[in-house]
Amino acid sequence: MTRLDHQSVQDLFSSYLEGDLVGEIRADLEVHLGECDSCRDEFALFRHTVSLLGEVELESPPAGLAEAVGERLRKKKRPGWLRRLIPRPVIRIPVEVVAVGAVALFAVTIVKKISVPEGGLFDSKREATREVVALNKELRKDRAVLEDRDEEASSGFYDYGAEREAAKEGKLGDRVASLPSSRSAADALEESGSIAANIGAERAGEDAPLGFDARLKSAPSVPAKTEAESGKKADKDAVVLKRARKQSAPAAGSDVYKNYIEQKDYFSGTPEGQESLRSQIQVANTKALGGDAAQAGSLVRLGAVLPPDDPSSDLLAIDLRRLAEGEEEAFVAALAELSETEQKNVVALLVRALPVRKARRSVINQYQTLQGQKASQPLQARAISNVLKGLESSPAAEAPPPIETSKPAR
Amino acid sequence: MVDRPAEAIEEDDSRRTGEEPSDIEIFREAQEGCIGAFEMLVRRFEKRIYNVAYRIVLDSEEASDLTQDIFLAVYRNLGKFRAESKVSTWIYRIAVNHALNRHRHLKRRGYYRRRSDSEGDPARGEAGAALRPEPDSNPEDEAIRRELRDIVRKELDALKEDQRALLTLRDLQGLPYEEIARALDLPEGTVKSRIHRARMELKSRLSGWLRDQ
Repeated sequence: MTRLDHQSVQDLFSSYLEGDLVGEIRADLEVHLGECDSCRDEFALFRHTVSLLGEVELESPPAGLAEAVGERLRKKKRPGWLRRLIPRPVIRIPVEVVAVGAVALFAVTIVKKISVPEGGLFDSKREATREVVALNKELRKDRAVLEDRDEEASSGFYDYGAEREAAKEGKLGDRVASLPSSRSAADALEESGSIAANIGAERAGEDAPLGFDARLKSAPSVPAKTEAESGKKADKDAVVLKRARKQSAPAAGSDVYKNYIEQKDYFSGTPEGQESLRSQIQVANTKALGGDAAQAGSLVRLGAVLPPDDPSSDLLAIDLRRLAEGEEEAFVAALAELSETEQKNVVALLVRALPVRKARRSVINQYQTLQGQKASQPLQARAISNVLKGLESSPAAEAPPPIETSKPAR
Repeated sequence: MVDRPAEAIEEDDSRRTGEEPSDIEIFREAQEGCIGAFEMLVRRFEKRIYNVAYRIVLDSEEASDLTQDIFLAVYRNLGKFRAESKVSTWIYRIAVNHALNRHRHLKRRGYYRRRSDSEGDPARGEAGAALRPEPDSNPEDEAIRRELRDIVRKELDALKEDQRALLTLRDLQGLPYEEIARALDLPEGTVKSRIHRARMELKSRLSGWLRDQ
């Protein structure tokens, strides 16, 4: 008999079976097994047991488990989760900048539509009142949409540093406030829009903290792009494309907006249709991010018509956000072709994809500021002021510049 | 447990082929908010995670709900993954913790006591798939195998929940000890000895039947 006792031998069964024993100890164990019937018998049983375990097949999970998980995630509509998903430096600034730009564009359209007649502003009080009432209604609706989204976002968010937020707001606010008051409303608003873009450019440059705005840097207006960034984007696109290929990709040149319009019931009302729509959105987004302006336009148009409660709307919101970050020019160009209502829908969707309450608040504040800039006419100024009065009060650093009302509304 | 530097484990190569994106590639997409990518990740892991859940709670309906909850927890914590381990290890860790918690919860509520009075997992049905069929087996051998797989399953289920979890990871799913150790946050040596004890326990339970073979 060797120096190993029965218990020691049996303690080594697993190691021996898995080939982990070497050298002297292995030799001792084999000698023991050769001489001890009891341990040899136990080892045979042990080996048989492990072999039987290896034959047990895995149970099959219930069908549609992944889809059920995806569905639950989409139903949650808690952008706080998004905040945790997305690395802070990547999305924070550019999304806001683009969102503010989109709001500015929308506001410009409104101002241009309320064009000032040559004979003077508001020939009659009735006409002015009508205009004010319409504007009031529009702003209330818009406020409701944005605040609804804000409510959804009110819990579980990652909170940014207050001073960084305040600094950002202060910077944008100062630039807007510095606009000469003598300019026409449209000019002022257009300049405000370009301010957003300028700030974006600044932040992409020396002003940007390390790691910020990689996507903004890759926008067409900023040609310099590092190899690492290009490689990362290419890798990412490859993943998206692979995924898209797996999930019944639509035909090349397919227009997701057109497809949706033609078969709304199928794409919104059936699981297969929803899956197909999501797949098409992903493919279109990949192409749009690769510079396909037609696909960008299609996605933006889809954003204008897709109901907010559609199962695919979350995905579209996220992809529009990516588009706004990665292909800002194409996004804004596509937005410019839409009607006011459609623009509002897209902006609402884009705001929905902004994952931080403060970021949303910022967009709303900027929207208010831009609306205030067209207050060259006292009646309008008072009307806008009344509408804004009910909005949630903002911290001092975020407050829009005061609206000048040189004379009473009546 | 041996700590590997983060750079050493950048990608999960367990599923990587020329055609399919790796776990970490899909994971990164999901981290950026793509629910479609997360669904892909779920599909890739659902069988493995469902089986961990099933072997711990021993009820297919509970395991189904639990698996969904596990993946929702994975989604909620995507931002916390720091690439210090493989994606699969990280998911396994969440799965085992969730499943053991659920098991404790069910046990406190007397679920297993009530169930032992009935016929076990009602949704399980005929346990025909528990062992792989032998292609050339005759009817008598097949009957023996059917009996054997019922016994193996029953005795496996009779082990303690942590032993079931360990044997599921190691012997049913073939995970390396190192990955199990990382998933359970235990030293590798501890994992090895616990798995050995669980196997010995199962051997004792099966020995009467196996000796009659």
